Amino acid sequence: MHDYFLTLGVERTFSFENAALERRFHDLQRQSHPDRFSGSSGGILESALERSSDINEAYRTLRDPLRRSKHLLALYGFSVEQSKQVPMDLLELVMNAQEKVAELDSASEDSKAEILASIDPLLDELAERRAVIDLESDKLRAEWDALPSHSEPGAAETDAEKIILQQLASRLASRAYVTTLLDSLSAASKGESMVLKH
Amino acid sequence: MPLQITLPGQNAGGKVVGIDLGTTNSLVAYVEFGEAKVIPGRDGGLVPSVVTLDDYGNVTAVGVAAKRRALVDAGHTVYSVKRLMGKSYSDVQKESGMLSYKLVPREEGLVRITIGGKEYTPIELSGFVLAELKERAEKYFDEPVSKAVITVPAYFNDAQRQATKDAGRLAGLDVLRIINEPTAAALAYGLDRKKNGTFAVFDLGGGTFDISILKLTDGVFEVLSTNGDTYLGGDDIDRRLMELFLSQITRIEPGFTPSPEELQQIRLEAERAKIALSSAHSFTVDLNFTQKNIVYKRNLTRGEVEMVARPVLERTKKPCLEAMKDAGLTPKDIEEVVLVGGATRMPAVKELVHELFHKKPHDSLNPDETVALGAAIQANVLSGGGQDILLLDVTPLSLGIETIGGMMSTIIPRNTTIPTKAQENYTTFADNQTGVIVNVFQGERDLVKDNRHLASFTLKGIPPLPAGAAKVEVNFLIDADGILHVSAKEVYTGIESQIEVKPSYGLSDEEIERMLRESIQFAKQDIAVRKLTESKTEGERVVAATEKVLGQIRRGDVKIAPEKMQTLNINQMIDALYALKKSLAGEDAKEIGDNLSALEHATEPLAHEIMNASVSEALSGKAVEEVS
Repeated sequence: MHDYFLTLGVERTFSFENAALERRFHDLQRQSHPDRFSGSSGGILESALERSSDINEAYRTLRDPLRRSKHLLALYGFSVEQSKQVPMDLLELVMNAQEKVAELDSASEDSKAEILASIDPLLDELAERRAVIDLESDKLRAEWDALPSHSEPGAAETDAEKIILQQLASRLASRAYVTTLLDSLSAASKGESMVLKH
Repeated sequence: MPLQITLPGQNAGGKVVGIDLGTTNSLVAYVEFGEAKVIPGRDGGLVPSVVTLDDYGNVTAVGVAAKRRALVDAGHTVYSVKRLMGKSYSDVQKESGMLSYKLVPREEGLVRITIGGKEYTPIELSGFVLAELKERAEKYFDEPVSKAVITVPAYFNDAQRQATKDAGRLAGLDVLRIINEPTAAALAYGLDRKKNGTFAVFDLGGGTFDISILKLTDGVFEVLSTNGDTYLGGDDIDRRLMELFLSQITRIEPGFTPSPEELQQIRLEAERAKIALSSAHSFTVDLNFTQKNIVYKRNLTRGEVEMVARPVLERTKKPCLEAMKDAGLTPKDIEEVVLVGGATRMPAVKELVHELFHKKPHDSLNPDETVALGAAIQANVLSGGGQDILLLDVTPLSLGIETIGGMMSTIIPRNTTIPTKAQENYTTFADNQTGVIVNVFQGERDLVKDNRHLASFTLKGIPPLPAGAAKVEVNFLIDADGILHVSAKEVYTGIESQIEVKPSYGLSDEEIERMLRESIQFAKQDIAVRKLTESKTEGERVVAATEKVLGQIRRGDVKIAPEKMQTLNINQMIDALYALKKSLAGEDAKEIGDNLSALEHATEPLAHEIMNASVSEALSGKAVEEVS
């Protein structure tokens, strides 16, 4: 797995400054872009193409806060793939949502409006839940960034590091779940799709 | 401080030109003394992208001359071939009625055009236009030109880009880079302004529409997003005007079916009316079909053209909105909108852009030349000049592969900065399976059938292993030209798989190689034919001149002292004369050449004597020259 922090030569932190990252990206591309090697032999051109592609992908990953978080976690071996299992703290919300969709599906035209109205508070609750997760995640990110030093990926992490990353990974997984739920429910309430995906 | 790298391999020798290969017009430009300029020809800078061929496959006219030929020899004259690049017959069938040349009605593969019983691909025909531009540059510099940067619409797919590159190859050009037209325009515009910021390029040409949003930071031109329609342009407005004229003509003359030449006449008048009405408010359409004794004359107003053009122009809206959305920007984030392409001269286009971006577009650039100038600047960069400039472009369309159920699985999303690469793993589903077929598509739809099939890649040479044991790692790489490269290897054994590429709407490498070989052979044949004709003409001229002098001597018109006659060896001269006459009846250029030299050698003393004797009154000055 590529370490895009290494590719761009930036620290493995969650926070970053946009302008500085962009400058770094431009400087590296000025050196590595295949246009700099036009007319060179195949081998040189090929390695420029490889390197330039890596720099592009690294920039694409690190300039996006969510992708950057996932990449950092993945480097340390924490997967944030959305699990098939419903996170325990979301169980009640999920069941509620499913119930609404089922009701909506079999409801007569008259009662639809009523059910739809009862979906709105659910949507609000989900949005609120996501905001809380975001706050918690930001706090964890800040904690990581504030550590005096970070272990190299692959080397054994300190307990402090492990705790932060593990908690963040689980928050991000929950966040993904909430987002999917939110999208399906709001689509269902607009009558776009009656299938609740999860 | 960016590191400066200059390599011995950099395109030091030979000039690199920038070419705008347009639907309607093409140009070639070059940077001289730090300034980009269009290389002019006898008829100005624009070369109409029109080619006339004879029945034997010889190009008889390109550019302005070919555009004139279209009116008298429409069936042998092709135009707007750029619209056919990377297309199949069924893609373009609906408008073939408005074309004055014939398409081959064959469903599969790249569309073909038939001229005088011979079939041509749009690639070859574009190659002829490129060859003309190459020649123009060579004349201008008085040295061979073999390297070029060629522009393409930003929304061109992989097949169309590859087709353009192949056309360059067929024209004898080493295409160092394919760059996007709006990006090229941005280069010309941005360098002129020397201002950092975010701007949009709205490029409505003869046949294609592009919108690109770019950010310029200290010489780095970074494309944030691009969108467009490769089948939308001024041509569509012309076509709608043609339809309007035609419907009105047939209302008066119900039996009127236009010949290809008359169709051309209507097309050119439609184009003229559209152009005139960008500055004037009314125009008199005047079509005279002398052979049929039909005159169609009417007044056309700007309002009428705008009404006809409206549905065409409306189609530019969605791509603009999508480009802004993909870049994560709103109109207020875009500082300026630059207009490029001849069709943006229409006041209606300017109004539409104003409305879309909430600001008056920047229209002070020459919309015809900007793209070519940008290509020249990039050509200069690739030659080692202007090293502080860097283009970072994006791939306009998502690249994906076919998965179960005909679904499109995107592996490189649209607007990803290029070059870029992605990896996919494949496994075998049968024991000892040694091949895998990968179907690659470009487009934004969920089902592959709604997207463009680019090619089938057949991976061969997978070591025979139990089902599922072999793992093939396939690497997809989109280079800086936006062209896809695929490589594969079996992970377990590390064996590189061979890949057989079958492009759906293009030519395979083998086909291009064959065309190149044939064109070289053809060129050799051409040279041989030309040489034979030249030596015959020369031989006949010398025979005539020699016979004339001999006659004059015989008749005493030219007097030569008898003692001199001995040394002149008239008999040897006569022998050489007959030998040459005999060879002139044959087809051997070398034999003619040899006999010609022999005769010239034999007549040398005579010519000398005639000169000495100052009998020039008997011979015109020319005759003496001819004898010697």
